[in-house]
Formats: sequence, C-alpha cells, structure tokens
Amino acid sequence: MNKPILSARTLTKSYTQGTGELPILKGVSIDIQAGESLCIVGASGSGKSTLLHILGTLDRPDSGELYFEDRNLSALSDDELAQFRNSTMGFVFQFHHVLSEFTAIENIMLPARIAGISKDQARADAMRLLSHMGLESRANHFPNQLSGGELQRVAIGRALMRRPKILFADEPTGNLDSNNSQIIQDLFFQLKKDYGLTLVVVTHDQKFAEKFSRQMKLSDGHFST
Amino acid sequence: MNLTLFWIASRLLSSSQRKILTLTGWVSLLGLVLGVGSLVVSMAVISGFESTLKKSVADVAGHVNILKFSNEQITWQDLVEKIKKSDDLVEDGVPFISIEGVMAHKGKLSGVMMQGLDPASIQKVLNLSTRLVKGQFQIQGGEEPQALIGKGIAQHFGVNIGDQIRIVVPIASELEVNQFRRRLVKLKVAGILDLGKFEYDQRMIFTNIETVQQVSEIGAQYTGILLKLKDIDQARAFIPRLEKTLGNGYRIRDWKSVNEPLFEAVKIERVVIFFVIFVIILAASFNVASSLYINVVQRFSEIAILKSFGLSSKQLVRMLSLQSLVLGGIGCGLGVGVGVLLCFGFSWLQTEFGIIPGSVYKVDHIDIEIRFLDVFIIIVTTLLICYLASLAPAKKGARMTTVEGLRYE
Ligand SMILES: Nc1ncnc2c1ncn2[C@@H]1O[C@H](COP(=O)(O)OP(=O)(O)O)[C@@H](O)[C@H]1O
Ligand SMILES: [Mg+2]
Repeated sequence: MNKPILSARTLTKSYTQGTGELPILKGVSIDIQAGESLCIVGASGSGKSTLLHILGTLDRPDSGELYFEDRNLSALSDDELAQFRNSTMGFVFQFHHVLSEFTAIENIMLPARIAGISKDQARADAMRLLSHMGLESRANHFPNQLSGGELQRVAIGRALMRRPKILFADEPTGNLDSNNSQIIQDLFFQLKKDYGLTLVVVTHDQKFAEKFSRQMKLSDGHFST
Repeated sequence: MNLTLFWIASRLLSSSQRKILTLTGWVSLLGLVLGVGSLVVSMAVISGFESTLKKSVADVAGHVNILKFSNEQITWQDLVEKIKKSDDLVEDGVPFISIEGVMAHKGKLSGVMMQGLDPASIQKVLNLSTRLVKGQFQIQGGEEPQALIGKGIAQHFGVNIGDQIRIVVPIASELEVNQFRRRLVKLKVAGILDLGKFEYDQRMIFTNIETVQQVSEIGAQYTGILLKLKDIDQARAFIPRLEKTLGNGYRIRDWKSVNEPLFEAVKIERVVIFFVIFVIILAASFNVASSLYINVVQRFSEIAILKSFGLSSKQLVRMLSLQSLVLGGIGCGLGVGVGVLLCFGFSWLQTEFGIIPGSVYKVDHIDIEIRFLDVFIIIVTTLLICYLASLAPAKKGARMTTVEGLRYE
C-alpha cells in the first residue's frame, strides 16, 4: 500500500459547554491516500466540521497527532502552519467567504499575493483558473454582481490558486440550488482529475457522497464504515 | 510582501459595499484632522511669533549689545576696529547712547528712550531702514537734529513727518547726588518706523549720536556698541570670545539674552501648547483605533478566511497596523491641509482687522511661519500614536480563532 499523504492518529476534541466538557471527537484515526477522494458524512452536530478543521490545521486537537507525509504537523507553530496551509492545502466552505472589497480575480489572487508571488504572475494564474471554471467574463466583477453559484466557483478557484495537494470542502453545495449544486459537484471531480488533487469533502447530499471513492461516517465521536 | 499587505489593508478600508468606517469612525477621523490642523496652526503662530520677535530685536538692537563701563579712553571708532579685527564673524559695529527722557506734546506726556546713533554706520548694522513706514530715513545732527520715531509714539501724540517734538532729559547734578537738572531737546521728525515689537514702537526715538552727547553733556562718551554678525545664530557662542578680547569693563549680551524672559516664555509656550493640543490627537487616534477594533470583530469571517489560506498572525497584525497608519496618514494629510488654510485665513484676518492687541502680545503683527520641522514632528508623533493605538485591535484580530469565523456567514 502507498504511504498516506495525510494521517491522523487518535484525534480528540471537546468543547466546554457551560460547566461541563462536551466531547466531540473521541479518538479519530484516518489515513488519507494521495489522489483519493474521501467523503465524510454524518448527522448534523456529529463533529464533521470540527474534524475537517483539525485535518486542515485550522484548529488543533486536544490530543492525537497529525502527519503530512512524514512531517508532524502538531509540532509546527501557528505561523508555520499558516505558511504550510498556503502552499499545501485549499479550503472551500459552505459559505463562500469571498471578500466583498475585491473583484473575482483579485479574490483568487489573494493566496498567491500573501505568499509573495508577483502581481503579474498571480493575475495570469488566476485568469487561467477563472477560465477553467467558465468565469473569465466575470473576472473584474465584484462579489455583489455575482450569483451564489459563481461565488462558490470563485471560492474554489481561490482554494486552488496555490496548487494545493489536498482540497478540503465543508458542505460546499449546502447553500446552492440543485442546478448550481450539480455544476459544483462536477467541477470538483473535473478539477481533481486536472490537478491531481486529493479530495476531502463533508456533505449531506447522498448522491454527491456516492461519487467518492471512499465514504466515512462519523457518529458518536468515531468513524463507523 | 508589505505592498501586498498594504493593498489588502487599504482595500478593506476603501470598501464601498460594506462601510468599514461607521459614523463614529468618520467622526474620529474628523477629530484627527482637526487636531492635526490646530496643531499646525498653533505651531506656525508660535514659530511666527518667535521669528517676528527675533527679527525685530535684531533689526532694532543688533545681534550683539556691548555696554561700556570701563573708563578706558578709547573712541568708538577704535573700539569697533578692534572688535572687527579680533573675529571674522563680526560684520560691523555702530556706537550708541541710550538715555531716558519724557516726551511732551500737545498736552500729553510719555516716557521715551532716546537712542543716539552714528548716521554713517547705522545702516551697516541695523536693519532700521526697512522698517520705515513714512518719511525719510535720516538722523542728521546740527541746528535742527532729525529723529526717527516708533509708530506707537506717532500715534499716541498725533505727530507727523516734519513736526517738531520736545524731549525733556534729566541731567544728574555734579553738586548734589539727589538733584537733577532738566534739559530740553527739540527734534524734527524725519521718519516713522514700524519696529515690530510693541514696546519699541511705544518708546524708541532714534537720533544723531552727537545730539544726544550734547544734550546729556557727556562729551565724546558713548553707552556702547551694537554689532552685526555674519551669522546671527552664532551670537551666543561668540560672546565668550569677545569677552576675552575686551577684558573687564564691558557687559556683552546677544540679541536673545537682551530679551531672555520673552524668548524663554515662547519656548515654554511652544511645548505646553503642543501637548495641550496633542491631547486632541491622542483622543482622536484612540477613536480611530476603536472603530478599527469594531471592524475587526465585525469582519470575523473575512479575517478567518484570510488566515485559512495562509495569512499569518504577524501579517495580520501588520495589516491592521497599516490600516491604522493609512487612516492616520489621511488624517495627517487633511489636517496639514486644513492647518495651512487656517494659517492663510489667520494672516488675512490680521492684515484686514489687526486682531492682535500689541500691548498683550508684545507684537501687533505675526508673520505666520509654517516650519518644516514643526510639521514633520506633528506627522511623526501622530502616526506613532496611531500605530500604538492600533495594537489593541491587531492583537484582538490575531487572537481570534480561525474556525469560529468559518462556521457562519
Ligand atoms: N466553539 C464551540 N463551542 C462549543 N461547542 C461547539 C463549538 N463549535 C462546535 N461546537 C459543537 O460541536 C458539535 C459539532 O459541531 P460540528 O463539528 O460543526 O458538527 P457538524 O459539522 O457535524 O454539524 C456541535 O454540537 C456544536 O454545537
Ligand atoms: Mg458542519
């Protein structure tokens, strides 16, 4: 078997609620293979987002370890992780979080600009991504001039800007109508093929989930297959 | 890299879609503008006041004032030669005699200071001729000696060019220490001077040195020498050198120490006014920072998404500081603009309406002076305060956890 690209060991996470502790993850382990498409499902409130955030280094577990290839991510500082995310991981969320002060193309350029890549280079890359997603005519539109589906595609473009190895998505179609949802779903698999991505997606949509090569169900703080 | 942060920071500020600056934000920016503006004006007024005084003192009393006490028999010509030879800094010197007198005219009385000067060398030392507002710049002696009088005297007594004025001078009696004789001197007004400093205008009468020598019955004696230097700002350093040259029997002061308390007061006033008005800037900067703080909290999810794709806490702190500096910069820019406009307005007001009472402020007209150094200090301190004030919102932004901002819209 191949070496996993990302591997989590007995992750736990609880939140303090009132006076008591509310355990959400009770020792989750998973190996994610490079190039696979993994879908995480589970009831609402089962901890899918929490897990995704920890796998994506946006949050830290209470205990357990996270390895990227052979690198122990738990040992990195916040600023090192920020840089790591910038170069290795892409994120798409239920809400697009597209910044309203920037045009579509500028939003997509942001991760590259933060990484210190030149404006011209970033603009050229962003334009290529936009046309890949059929949005080249929208490049200089501001978010309030774009539809929900278009905004989600801008968010996907932004997530792919730095050519990440892993793309995380948390209910990326949760806020879209069925037509747009279909476009986004197809886009994910198209992009996975084009860019050789590893996909880790949380969804409620059963039909979407069935398209993934592996499904994991989260319940009561553990994976049950 | 910093350019990128600047780009993001300023774009987030200039948002037309979602108002980053709430009403309180605009009000605090306005406060900053007004604070910087009034600081620029007050520093310009103080600097102008100082310069006006300095120029007045130098024009009327020279750069260095030497009082001769010694009984050394040396003519003023020889003394000036000796001083000129001793140091390259010295441009020229003029002898003077000062005596107090009482001027009586058309039923009015007033104490005056009669200053006898050498008409041949006066122009080389004092800038009095530039201050002539009426008549001719002449102080010839002889039968009908000429005089130049301060404009305050002209106004007070209602005298004009060509008028004769009478001054009573007390002469100490050789026989009895406590007795004085009176001597009357008649002078013809040749010109009226605007001397800049209020007291000068009210008291000074310039005339020929020989006339004063005759009136006060002192022969060829003189009170002292006024010097002009090639660089007025080296006057203070020059004094010890001159003291060495002349030895005992002379009292030497520079233009500043002749009016020491006044210049000291101006110096203190400058500092006090700076800090009093600076409080406005301080308050405004913290208001700006607090609207940024609110903004950081409101923009929770934007900050979270920026962090998710790699904006580090360090970069975030720098970005928010930049925002504060951008606002501070705008405030400074507009404030300096407003200040300069106000300065012009003030200049206009004082020429149109003569708004400065000379009896209170020592001068009745100030040439407002916007000094580069003043403006520079104002801008630097304001930006520094804005930067310091931004640290709280910046820390807040850096502390906020990423995930919370990503769960909601
Ligand atoms: N910051 C928090 N404080 C307390 N409880 C939280 C916090 N974040 C999430 N939770 C709780 O953790 C549980 C799991 O949340 P989440 O991971 O978002 O679930 P899912 O994405 O599967 O719906 C929920 O019950 C939620 O209320
Ligand atoms: Mg969720």
